[in-house]
This record gives sequence, structure tokens and C-alpha cells, in this order.
Amino acid sequence: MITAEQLDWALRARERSGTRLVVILISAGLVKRLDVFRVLAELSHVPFIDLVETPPDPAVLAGLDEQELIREGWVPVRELGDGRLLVATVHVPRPALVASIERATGREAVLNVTTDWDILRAVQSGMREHLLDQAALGLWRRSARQSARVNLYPAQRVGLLIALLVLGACAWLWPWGTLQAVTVVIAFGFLIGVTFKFVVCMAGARRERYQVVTGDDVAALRDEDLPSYTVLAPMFHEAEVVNHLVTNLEKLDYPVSKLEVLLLLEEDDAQTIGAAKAAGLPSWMTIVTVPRGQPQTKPKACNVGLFLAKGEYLVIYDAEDKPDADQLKKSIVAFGRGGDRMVCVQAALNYWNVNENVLTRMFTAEYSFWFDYMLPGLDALRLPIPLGGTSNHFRTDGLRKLGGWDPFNVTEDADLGIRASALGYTVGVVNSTTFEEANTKLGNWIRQRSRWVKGYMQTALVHARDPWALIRVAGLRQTLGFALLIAGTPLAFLFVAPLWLLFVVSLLVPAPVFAEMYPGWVLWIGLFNLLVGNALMIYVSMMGAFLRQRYGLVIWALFNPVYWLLHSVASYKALWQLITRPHYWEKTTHGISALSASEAAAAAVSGHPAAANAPGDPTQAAARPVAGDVPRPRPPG
Amino acid sequence: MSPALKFVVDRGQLATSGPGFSHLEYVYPPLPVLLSIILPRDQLSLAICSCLFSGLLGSVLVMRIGLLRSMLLGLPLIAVPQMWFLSSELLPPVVALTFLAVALFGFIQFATYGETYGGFIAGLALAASYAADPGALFYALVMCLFVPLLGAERYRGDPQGPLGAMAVIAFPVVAMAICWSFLIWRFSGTWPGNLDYSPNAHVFQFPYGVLGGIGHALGSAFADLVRSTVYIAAGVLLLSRRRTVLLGAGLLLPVLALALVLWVGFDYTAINAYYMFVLVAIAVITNHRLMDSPRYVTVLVIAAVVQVIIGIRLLPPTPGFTVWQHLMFQ
Repeated sequence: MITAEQLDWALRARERSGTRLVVILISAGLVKRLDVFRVLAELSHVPFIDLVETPPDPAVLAGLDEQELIREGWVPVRELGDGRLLVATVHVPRPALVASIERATGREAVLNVTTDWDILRAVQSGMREHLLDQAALGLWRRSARQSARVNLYPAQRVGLLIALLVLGACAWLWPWGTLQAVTVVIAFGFLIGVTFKFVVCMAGARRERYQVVTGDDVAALRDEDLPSYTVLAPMFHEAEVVNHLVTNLEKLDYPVSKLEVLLLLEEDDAQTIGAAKAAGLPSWMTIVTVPRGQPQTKPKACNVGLFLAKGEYLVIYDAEDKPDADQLKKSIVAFGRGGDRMVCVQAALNYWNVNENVLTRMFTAEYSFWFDYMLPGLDALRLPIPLGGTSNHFRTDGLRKLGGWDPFNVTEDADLGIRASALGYTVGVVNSTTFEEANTKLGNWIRQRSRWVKGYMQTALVHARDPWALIRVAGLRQTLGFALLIAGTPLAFLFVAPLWLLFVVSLLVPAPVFAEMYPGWVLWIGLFNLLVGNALMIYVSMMGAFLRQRYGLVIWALFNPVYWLLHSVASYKALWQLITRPHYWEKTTHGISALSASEAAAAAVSGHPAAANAPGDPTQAAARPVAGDVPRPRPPG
Repeated sequence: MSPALKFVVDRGQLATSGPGFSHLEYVYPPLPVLLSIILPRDQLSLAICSCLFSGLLGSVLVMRIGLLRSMLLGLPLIAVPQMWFLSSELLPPVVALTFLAVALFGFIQFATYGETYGGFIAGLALAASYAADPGALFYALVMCLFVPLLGAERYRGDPQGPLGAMAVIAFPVVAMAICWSFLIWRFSGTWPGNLDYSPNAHVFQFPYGVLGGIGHALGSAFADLVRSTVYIAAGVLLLSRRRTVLLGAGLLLPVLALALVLWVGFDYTAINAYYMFVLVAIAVITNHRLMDSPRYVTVLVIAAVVQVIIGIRLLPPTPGFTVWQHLMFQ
């Protein structure tokens, strides 16, 4: 039973948000989901059906659109003896609804009432094989050329083979000339790559005071105008961080009646499922078990989530993420300003365990540079934006049109950003931050980085299959941006170690001999790359740290060349895996930081960019409404 | 013709006289010498280059503070013949001072408001300035000293803030110095290059003795200060306002830093110091809106006029100036 005061509050909330009363009551935790729908069945004079006890017959689900079923809130259960179809619904079975269902199924329908949770689960289990197939192979079936299921197409294989043969033959016939030519190509590649990154970075720096969305913009949003939002949280073997995730998501400033959180847990990950069940999830968080099957990757789990998502907008958070409280609202404003072609906005990522060791410091400086300069710079220059692993906000419809994530690509996010550009959509950035846990262990870091580099390689190969089409749709500038960023990054990492080796060797060769080995201009470019290139990359890292007000990190950026060597190691591992295990997902272990929760929270607050004191300061963000505002039932007596 | 330009041209010829990079030590300071190698080897092309940089400096000032203010505050640069000589004949300091002007405005944005774009501009412009004149190390030093003064509000309670800002300002110029010295060492075996980079540079040679040089350097620096009345006026006006007292007092820092570089033996003539003080004064006056008050404007205009008179009458002639003046005006 709820009190009159609670009912009044719920009615007011309905007025404010435009959400169904039943959803408000459930999401506020005032009533139990099962109770509400049982009452609804009673009032509608139809039986209540528990779909766990009476699961739908997969045969009657065949041919139906699972997303439509979830969106409309009904699911066929089985064929009755008299030929009619038993259908479970979450709505009052009005004639219009019955007619709509009968039109969709082509059968006369008998309606029972069930819960929305049952519908979701029924669709999930009843269409398991279909879901699995769509999640794993949907993109490939739709457009094989956009999928990394096959990394190298025959033409690419032949091209690569010919190139290697020609190179080998040249090296055999003219070893010195070939070495010089290769050095020239590499030197030019580096020169262009470093210049490109620096120009983009400066374009990003020019916008540092520009806030895509201000605090006033967020404050001006009315709850009733907010769209529904789905949060996808894929987890695998991360039982230890489930509670953190739940706590962090509960802090989101968004009406919970319009929020849907799907915890995407792998079917065979009993530990995490157990932890999620034990976490006492609020009613607006739902556990979705991802059917077991290959490839067992995060993008496949996300695709399952995408199929079940009801929100008009959708975002992904990793298990260890701490997003700014107002991030969803900021994204809504950013979408509003980005136009209809904007399919995604990326929030900045940063780390909360910055000062744990050298690695976390370098990682934070790198992320600050990447998310605070590079991505805004790419955005300012209208170049393709490779999405970061989490905090990508999508228009759900747009994402479905893009085909979701490629489960065979191990940086499915970067690939998706490029695919969006290749198909004529735009990706933007929003001035909000999600704090993550930086890798504290070298082995773990190498694994994670090798996956990222391998993913970039996959993405480059996928989108290089038809460069003309890419140029035609996205434009020459975007294609060049893609080439420099996605193909250039792994290549640069691969060449870092040999070039440092060459540098060390050059120190052992007498200078006059060395000067005669290469034409003067080649030597100058090489020296420019070595000295100015490294200095510029150090400098942008310094600035990234400074912008985030992590002043203590500034000096650590001097170790950037060493950090790049680690990248090089990871890139060789990535190359090896691209050949031997192209779709293998190197799992990053999270939850290994030695920082306590309070230390982490304090560190996260201190890491906001210079605009932190401007309106919209995330440290001052309002607490999530509803939960705190709900009048609690008075104690009996 | 100016001995300074001749020096650069000679260095360019020396640098290319040996095989490969064996004479790289003479490419110091790199930018003017490289220009002399690239451009037709005569002093006219370098003089034209010098004029172009002077024009660039003028346009930077006009873009930043507007034409009228540039004309008023820049009077000591516009109306003094020695400045005309510097603008057309002393390529290294002109290039260095042009980049200094760019750096100054970026630096203020960076140190005062924490805008890293300004930091990028300041840092990179200082590095470019160093490429023209090693005296840019002095500019970087002064800016680092100013960080705690300009950003006092901003970094309150965070001692790492000023250090981080100093690192950001100083890194490019230090990196430039190290990189170029490395190249010179690598290809010519000497280090850190030929420090007699101009006819009047005596780096680490202490012609007045190590201790005696301190007094001489301080004397020269304060003499340079006395000739910079706009700078002094700006300092006094800042001291007269409670919230800028610290900054006003901080204007002594560049004088002490100047003494330091003179002591070390960098080529920093009276004309360079005069120019530099005017640029710093313009940046400070603009940033602290001293031109918003008519009273202050009067003081500053009077100071500018006085400085013009001092510049014409009392500024020690730079080598080559007398000949140049004779050729130009008689």
C-alpha cells in the first residue's frame, strides 16, 4: 500500500515527466512490480500470467520483431486449443490494443497481463537463437564489407602479398636504396602523423573555453521533455565492481522513470550474475544474460542490449565507470544542437586513480590529451571521431540503422565512430567526464593496449576495403583524417621501437659516415621527427595534464617517449594476434586499484578540466531526483 | 651595413663550407643562419626579412590591442631612429622580439586564466624566439618568475600549480636548446654550439670577472630600466592599486633577470632591453586595463613621449647604427 502523500507525489511526478504512473511507482520503489501488474490484471478483469512459469513457445515468436514487442509491451505465449493466440501484455487490454496485436500476428488474440520485466525476459529466452545470431552476425549479414569477421579480403591479401614481394625483391637487388626508400617513407609518415596530431590538438585547445553544454542549459531542461534513456553496462568476470557500478549509476541526474539500466552479463559468468543479484538492484536496473556463443566479446553483449533497449537514447558505461551526474542531460542538449545526422556524442574519459604509479600517471596524461584536445579538435575540424570505449551516447534508432557494434572488431567503438562517418552521420563530443580506473599493472596495460591497437588495425583494414566509397560518402578530408588516425596510429607505434633502435645505432656510427648514409633532407626529416616530434608529443601531454588541473602530472609527461616504447611493445603483440587470433578479446582486469572509494571520489573531483568552476560544474551537480524526493511510507501506528 | 647582419651571413657561409653537417656548430642561432643559407646570400635579403618580422610584430600588437593603443604605447618603438635600425638591420633580435610579443600575450592568457591554448602559443613562440636568439632563455625565465604573480588567485592552495605552469612555459624553449645543442654535438663534436653567437656575446667568459661582473650587470640592467619610462610608469600605476601591488613590484623581476643574463654574457644590448621593456609594459598595461582610466592614459602617454626623447638622446648607439644613420639621413 502507498500513502496518499506518496500517491500525490507520484501524480505530480507523472505530470512533470509524462511517464506512466505505474512506471513511476515502480521505479521509485514505492510498489513492487509484480504487485502492480497483478492489480492491473485484476482491474482489467483478465488473468495475470507469469512468463517465468509459462515461458512463451518459440514457435509463436517466429517472424516477429523483438524490438517492436518490447516497445509495445506484449508477447505471444502459445496457441490455445481453439486456435486463438494467448498474448501477454503490460497494458490494459483495450480493444485498440487487441486489434493491433491481431493485425501483427494475424490471429485472434486472448490477452493476459504480465510485467514489463517478464516481457523482456520472455523475448530474451524465447528468441535466444535469433538474438544470438543477430548480435553476433547481424552486421556481417547486413554488410559483410563493414564487418571485421574477415580481416583481409582476397584482394587485400593479394595486394599485401604483392607489396611484400616487391619490397623483398627490392631489398634483395638494391639493399641500400631500399633501406633509404623505406626510411624516407617512414620519416614522411611520422612527419605527417605528428603534424596532423599537433594541428588537431591545437584546434581542440582553441575550443577549451567553449562549452558545448553549460550548466544553465542543463538546468533549463524539464523532466517532462526528457526522452527515455537506456544505459548498457556490459560486464564479464567483474563481480567485485558490481556494487560500485550500481552506486555510480544511482548518482545519475535523470528521472529514473525514464531511465533503463541493462546490466549485460554473460550467461556463463555465474559469479558476476550472482553478485548482481545480490546487489539489491533498484527496479529500473535489469539483468540481461547474454547468450553464450562466439565471439564472446563486449560488442556482442552490447548488441544484445541494443535489441532489448527501450530508450530513445542509449549510452554504454563500463563496470568501473563514474560518469558525471549530469552527463545524460548534457548529451540530450548536445544531440539537440548537433542536428538530425548526429548519431553519437562522446563524453571525455579520465582516470580517478591517477597517482597510483608511473603507469597510471602516464595513462592519465595520455587520456587528458586524447579526450580533452584530440577529440574536441577532431570535432572542430569535422573529422571522423573514433569513439572511446565507454560513455558513447547514441540515438538508439540511429545506432540500429548503423547496424550496432561489430562483435568481431576488438575496438568496436572506434570502428563504430568511423562507420558512422563513412555512412554520412556525424559524431560530436560533450563536455562531461566519466572517470575510470587506470591500469595499474604493466601486463594488464599491455593486454589492454594490444587489444586497442589490434582493433585499430582491424578498423583500418575494414574501412580500407572500399576507399573510393569512403571518399564518396564521407569526403576526402574525412578519409584522410581516418587514414592518419586509425591506420597511422598503429603504424606509428610499430615503427617507434625500430626507430629508437636506429637512433641508438646511429650514435655508434661516426657522424660524418652517418651524414653520408642519407641525403641531407631525409636526415633532417628524421632528426625533426626524433627531436621536435617527441618534444611536441611530450608538450601536448603536459598540456593535457595541465588542462585537467593535474599539475603534478605535468612533469611526468617527460617520460612520454618511454611510454611510446611500451605502446610499441603492445603493437607488436597486436600485430601477432591480428594474424594468429584476430577476434580474441584481451580482457582487461578492473578493480585492481589500491585506492579506497573515498580516495577515488576525491581524485575524480580534482580531475575536472579548467572549466570546472564554470556553470555546470559537475562537482556541484544536483543529486538524482525522485529517490530523495519520494515521501517514504509512514511507519505503522 | 650592420655588423650583426654581416655576422649572420658569415656564419651561413661557414656552416655550408664543410662536408655534410660538419659545420653545424655555426648554425647558431639557427633561424637567422638558416635564413641566410636559404635566402640569396646578401645582407639585403636578410634586412628585408628583418623588416617583415618587424611588420609582423606591429600587426600582432594592432590585432591584440588595437591601432590607437598600439600607436600610443608603441611610440617609443615607432619614433626612435635606433628602433628603425633594429627593425631593419638586427635580424636575430627582431625575430626573437616578434616571437616574444606573441609569447607575451599567450602567456598572460595562460598564467592568468589558465587557458592552455595561450600556454601553447607562449611556449612555442618562446621556442621559436630561442631559435633566433638564445636570449629567449631570459624571456622564459622572466615568464616563469611571473607565473606565481599572475596566477596567484588561480593556484591558491595548490603549490604544484605554479610549478606545472612554469614547466609548460619553459619546456619548449629548454627542449629547443637541448635539441639544437645535441645536433651540434652530434655532428661537430662541440657542445653546446658556438656560444659566440653574435659579435657581442661572451657567454660564460666573464670579461669583468665573475664577481665584478655582477655589479656591472646590475648597473647595466638598471640603466636600461631608467631609459624605459613606460615600463616604470606601468609599474608605478600597478603599485598604486591595492590588488596589483604585487605585480607592480614583480616588474623588478625582469630587471634582475636581465642582470643575470648580462652577467652570464648573453648579447643583450641596451636597444634590445629597451625594446623588450616596451613590449612587456604594453602586455601588462593591456592585461590590467590601465588604459581604461583617462588619468592613467595621460600618465602613460607622457611616459611614452619622455621615453621617445630618452630614446633619441640617451640610448647608447648600437654598433653600426651611426654608419647606418649617416647613410640613411645625410
